Amino acid sequence: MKIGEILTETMVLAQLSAADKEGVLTELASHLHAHAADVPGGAQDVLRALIDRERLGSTGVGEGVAIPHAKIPGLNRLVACFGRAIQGIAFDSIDQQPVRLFFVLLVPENSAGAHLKALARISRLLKDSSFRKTLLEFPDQAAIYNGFLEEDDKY
Amino acid sequence: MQGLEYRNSKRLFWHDQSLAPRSAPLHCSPMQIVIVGAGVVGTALAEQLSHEGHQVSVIDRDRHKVRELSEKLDVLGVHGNAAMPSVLRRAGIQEAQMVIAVTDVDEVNVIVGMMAMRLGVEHRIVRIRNSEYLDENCIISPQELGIEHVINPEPAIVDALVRMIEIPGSVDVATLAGGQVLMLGFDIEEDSPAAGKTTAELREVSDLDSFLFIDIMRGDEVIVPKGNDRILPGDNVHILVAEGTVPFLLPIIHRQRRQTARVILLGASRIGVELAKAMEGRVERMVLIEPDPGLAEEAASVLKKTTVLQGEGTDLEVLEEASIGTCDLFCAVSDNDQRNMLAALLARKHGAKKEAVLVHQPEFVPVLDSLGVEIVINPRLVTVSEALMHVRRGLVHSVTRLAGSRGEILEIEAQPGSRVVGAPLKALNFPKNALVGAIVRDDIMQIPTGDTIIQPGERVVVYALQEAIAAIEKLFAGTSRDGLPMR
Repeated sequence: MKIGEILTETMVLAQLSAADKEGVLTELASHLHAHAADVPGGAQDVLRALIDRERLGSTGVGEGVAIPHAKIPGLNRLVACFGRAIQGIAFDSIDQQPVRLFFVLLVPENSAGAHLKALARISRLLKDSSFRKTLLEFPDQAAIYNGFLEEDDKY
Repeated sequence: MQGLEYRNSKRLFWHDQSLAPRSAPLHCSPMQIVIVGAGVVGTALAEQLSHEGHQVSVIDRDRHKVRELSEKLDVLGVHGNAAMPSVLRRAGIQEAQMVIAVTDVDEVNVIVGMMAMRLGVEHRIVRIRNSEYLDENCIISPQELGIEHVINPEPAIVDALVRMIEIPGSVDVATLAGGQVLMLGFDIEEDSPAAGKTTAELREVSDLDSFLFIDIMRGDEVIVPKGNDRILPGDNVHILVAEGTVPFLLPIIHRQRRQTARVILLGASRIGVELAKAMEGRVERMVLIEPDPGLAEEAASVLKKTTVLQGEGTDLEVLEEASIGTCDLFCAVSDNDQRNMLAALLARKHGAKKEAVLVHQPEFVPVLDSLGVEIVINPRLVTVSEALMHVRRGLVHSVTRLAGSRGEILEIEAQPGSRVVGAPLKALNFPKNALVGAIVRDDIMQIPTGDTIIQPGERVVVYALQEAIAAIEKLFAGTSRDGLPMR
């Protein structure tokens, strides 16, 4: 499982403008809906699925990282979106730290475990503190995207 | 004066099926087994294996031990030096299918292994504790010495401690299915996001994130959750989880992260040094206390990011110097049981949040348990467990007994022709008090549903209360060569 298989450059947002948890999820859901034609339903449906997942436990895994994810009925592939919020967003993270890096993963209903490989891959990449630091320093969308591909090649 | 307070937390009881012999024999044909060394490990193995119906003989140089053992168990006791061919012959080595050499002396164990190979004994399990015989600088490799399996509990102990440090808040860790699946134990606190929810309510997330509550311990009661069981504060739960999704599970269990950032180790034993090597640089602070100046110096030369203090672990000044007041985990892993226990109790009194204590004498395990020490490690019981895994190389790959629960986790290979394969799980008359926890397919842990069909040869993680184990074993066993179902 390579990050390039699930993330495209369009799906990278260099600066999220939202100010709170729901705002960030709304912004990411809208972007996913607008740029992945095969995501069924409206942006609202994506948002609801993500919020439902958050309700049972934050996906803020600590160190300024959140990996919101949810099953989307009718979806046929894994769809990912990365967003950066330099300002930091309160996200009920387990370490109480504001989140700056968001990696969203939409999962088909019959994923049969492929999403687990993706989730494990994403958390592994974002576990590296120097990579997290560089992600915050990249100037734009293209640099962030290439940064992901390069980092992914190291493993 | 302030006494030692009892803390209301569960400890990790070293996972082991050997704490009490199992009554249900496992599915492997009876063998003739020679056990060399009637120490703690040899005795426990003799007890377990003779219980399971194997023909066991035990050799030891202590006449009293041999007599005691042969009076207590249905085994042949042989007195003498096992490195002597005549002694091995008296124990019936020529007819044996397996030799397990677990004396306190590595060299004796090695010689027994070599002679057993020469005599054509099929399985040769040898304990070697000194890593010089095992690492790349060894002159003759264990394979060249005729050893089939080396048992050495230290790597497993280091691995479990590393995981406990890495997975904050866990009070219990076991690795299953070659690392794909973890079994974790947690205490549910008042503010836990999972508290008050039923396992059915968590099901959507737990399916997505690949974890499963396998039991809930509430006081003396053990609940195998079937959907409508509610998780309550004060419960101790066991969860199976895919290795990669642990980070998503933790926020569901704890509102806030339990950090294990500051660790103090007592004892530059092999375990102490290996643990420091594995964790230094990954935790905020690592301090190693070692009384022996030579060992302390040696440890300091190989550890780059660990502060090595030469001094007694029971010396308050030394503990203060190690900043005991802000210590998250105090690991007493020296070779001296009494020192470990005393130091850990002192560490707790002076502010350590959690203690792990290594004791060689199994008799100390319940004592530490009653004192509320969270993590108790007994290397000999781990050795027994390792040896048994090699004995049961057939159907059952591993057995993990859970702390304080009557539950066991079995890794079982579904045999072709067994009743468990080919039909959806919901169509099977699966024993009450048991559940299929996980299946590993394409290197990914999957949580089975009622529609899941287990394939022949697939490795399945099953949770079962003890009373259900015999039924589970029947369900997974194929038919024996003569066409009769195996017991």
